[in-house]
Amino acid sequence: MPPGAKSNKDNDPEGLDREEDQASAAEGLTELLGFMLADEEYALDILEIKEIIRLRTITAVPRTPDYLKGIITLRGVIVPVFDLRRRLGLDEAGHGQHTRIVVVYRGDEFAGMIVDSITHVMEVGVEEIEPPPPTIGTVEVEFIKGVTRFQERLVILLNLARVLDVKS
Amino acid sequence: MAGKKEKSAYAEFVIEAEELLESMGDRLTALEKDAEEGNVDPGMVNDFFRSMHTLKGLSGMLGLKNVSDLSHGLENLMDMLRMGKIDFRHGAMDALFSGVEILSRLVARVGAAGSEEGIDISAELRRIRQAMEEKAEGDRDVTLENVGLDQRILETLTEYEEHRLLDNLRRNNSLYRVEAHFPFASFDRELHEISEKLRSQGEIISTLPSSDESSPETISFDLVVGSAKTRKQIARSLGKRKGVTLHAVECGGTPPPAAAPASREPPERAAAEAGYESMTLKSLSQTVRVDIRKLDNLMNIVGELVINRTSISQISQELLVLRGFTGLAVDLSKGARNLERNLRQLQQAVIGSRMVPIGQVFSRLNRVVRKLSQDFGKKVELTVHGEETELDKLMVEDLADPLLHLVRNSFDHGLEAPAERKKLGKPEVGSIELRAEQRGNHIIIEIEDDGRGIDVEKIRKIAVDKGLLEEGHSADEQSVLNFLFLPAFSTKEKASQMSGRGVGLDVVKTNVARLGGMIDVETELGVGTRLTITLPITLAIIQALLVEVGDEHFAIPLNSILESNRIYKGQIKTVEKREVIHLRDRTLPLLRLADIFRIGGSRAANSDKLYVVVVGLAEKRLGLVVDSLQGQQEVVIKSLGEVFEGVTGVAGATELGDKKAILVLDVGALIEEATHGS
Ligand SMILES: Nc1ncnc2c1ncn2[C@@H]1O[C@H](COP(=O)(O)OP(=O)(O)O)[C@@H](O)[C@H]1O
Ligand SMILES: [Mg+2]
Repeated sequence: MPPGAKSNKDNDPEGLDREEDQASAAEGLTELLGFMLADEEYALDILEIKEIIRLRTITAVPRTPDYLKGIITLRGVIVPVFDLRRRLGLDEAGHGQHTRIVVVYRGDEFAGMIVDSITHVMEVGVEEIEPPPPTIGTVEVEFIKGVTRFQERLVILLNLARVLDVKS
Repeated sequence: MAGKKEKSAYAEFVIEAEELLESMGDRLTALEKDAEEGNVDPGMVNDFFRSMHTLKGLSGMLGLKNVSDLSHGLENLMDMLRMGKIDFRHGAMDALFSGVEILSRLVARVGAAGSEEGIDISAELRRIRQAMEEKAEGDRDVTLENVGLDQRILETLTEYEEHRLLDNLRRNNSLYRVEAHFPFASFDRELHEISEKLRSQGEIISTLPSSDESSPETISFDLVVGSAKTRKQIARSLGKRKGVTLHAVECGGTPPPAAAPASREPPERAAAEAGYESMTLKSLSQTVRVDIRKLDNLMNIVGELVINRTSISQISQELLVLRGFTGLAVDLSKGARNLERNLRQLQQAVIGSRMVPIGQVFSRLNRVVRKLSQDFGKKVELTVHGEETELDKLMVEDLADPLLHLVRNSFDHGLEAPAERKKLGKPEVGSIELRAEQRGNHIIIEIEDDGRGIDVEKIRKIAVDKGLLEEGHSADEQSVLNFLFLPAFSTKEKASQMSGRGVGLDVVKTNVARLGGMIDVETELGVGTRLTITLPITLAIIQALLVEVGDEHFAIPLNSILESNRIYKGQIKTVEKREVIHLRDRTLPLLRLADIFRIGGSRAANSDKLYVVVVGLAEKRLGLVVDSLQGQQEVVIKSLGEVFEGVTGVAGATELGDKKAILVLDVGALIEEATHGS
């Protein structure tokens, strides 16, 4: 995590913890987890995330869309894994040393999403999050909840529910 | 909010009521048999009476008027029976059977609709009243006058106990009095012990605390026992026990002994009955009712342990290879083996706790057959074997309806009318046999009748009429019989009340397949029909065969595998663009897993030798082509979850020791696909 990633914390002398953050959403700070996909930075609300794990053997499940990579087991629980690049319509890429699986909550179950690498956790004011512009690179707008700036870079917030919705 | 609460109150009630009715049904069946032999077990009668009483109480509390009125009527009827005021004649038995049946329907209604509406009980109540008027000969032929029991004891007997005593006399049983002095510290256990012993020899008519206070540290009892056994036999069964003496009681001829001095006060008598009650309560409370979901959870935990055990075993194997048979490596391997043994025991115990005897369902069927036979004037004898065979509770429930269908089919399509049977030289009473048996990891259930059998040619004709078979096609007998398992396939022209709507065998097949089982039919014209259901014992943990296709591994449930063979490319024929081989006189369609799952790099595609795993579900067979067989393993099946909900051909996944997930094939779906898919 780069230095200063948590810089907003400096404006928060009380040292609010996450639950209080939630409770005081009105005064507006959320914590986001940033990660890279095809040279762009994306983010999810940290409360949507269960854990981050290294890439492990994924068992393919036949007769499923390309973006469903297959399943892994996580302490005995079967977890479906999404290839997030494919899900968002980005080019496929090989997996490397920094590749991670972000495990998120999906209703009562979990889901894993493959990302190129994790960047850092950032604290952003709610009012700093803007609705998605009509066109944003190659990713369809429906998958995007909003955009924000963090340390002068553009960060795209994913609409997780939409990304994980396999019915449509 | 209130509505919701009420609903859950009913849910509890329905579970409890069903359980009570179930056990009452069982007892009735046994009672009927005993009554025919003139040897009714009073314990059984009492159990029935108590269950009915409980049901009355429960339903009364919830304001379920019909259930409570009807159970009240039946309770009264049973009370008269146990008091000997009426006999176990047909009227009474029929009223009890049909009463229990109506109660079951009422309870099911309450469970489904939350109300009792739509089921009339007035006819039942009338039937009960009539049965209660069929007066018994009563106890008049024998009296207590000549019984050599202390007046003190005789006066304490309740009306019921008195009746039981007279009933024993009428059956020419001997009477005994067991005098017992027990230390306060252990009297409950000791009393329980001798009561058990005495019950094995006869009937305990009464257990009375005696006022004989020979020592302040002891408590004394008189047990009055009726038995056909001799004094010697009973003494032997009791064995030598401190403080216990057995007395034979004069039953006739001799005048009663002089009246004992002290007459008893009512409170003491109440105490006597209380003592009796607490004894029975004790044995009742040895059963615990557990929510099946808790057992599921336990099963999951055991499943996890099994997985962990596998990886420990693997590590220990590798260590032995690396380090040789020395020191810690050997210790670990020993430990792993012990762990394996203990785990297997634990697993067995957990599975065991989910198991219930299939007899539960059988006895329900018995009641149905009885009713059918009454309503349709066919004589049937239902014989049951292996009712103690145990199956997973969830499976037993799911089997009830399929078995019911099969028994109805036997009754309706199989068994001929008595006159016709006579003409054919068959015994007038038709036979339906239900057999359950455990073979290895499977339960085999057979339903066999000695009826007219199934006319294969007739089925063939119907299949041709329905366009399922080409005219003049030489399908073998087994494939023709398989048409019976199709929806809406019936040989009956008109639908009767129970059959002919063709909703029988296809539903049976689906239900059995859902339980991971298969069904087969064998029949001989004029001789009878037998349906055989093969089921795994339990669902969660299964034995599986691991196979390899390309780089992928799959688990195939062993219970659906018939055999696995190595075959040569040359044996494969192509019929209508589909690959088949001939195996044991059958044409077996083949399915290449590599093709249907689009797996690259399968060796089987080009190799001259390949492996075929022959799977069967219900009546269908299919050969799965794979690259290699990797051995058997115990696996815990887990659902793939919502994301993969619509995926066909895969039943779930399992974790092997190395943290890798592998898919468990859904054999039923694959077979379906191979036979129906274009
Ligand atoms: N035990 C049996 N004895 C003779 N025929 C049978 C028996 N069981 C089934 N059949 C035949 O199989 C056919 C299909 O049975 P089923 O699917 O239950 O439909 P249905 O009972 O509605 O006709 C029946 O019409 C009958 O010809
Ligand atoms: Mg039928």
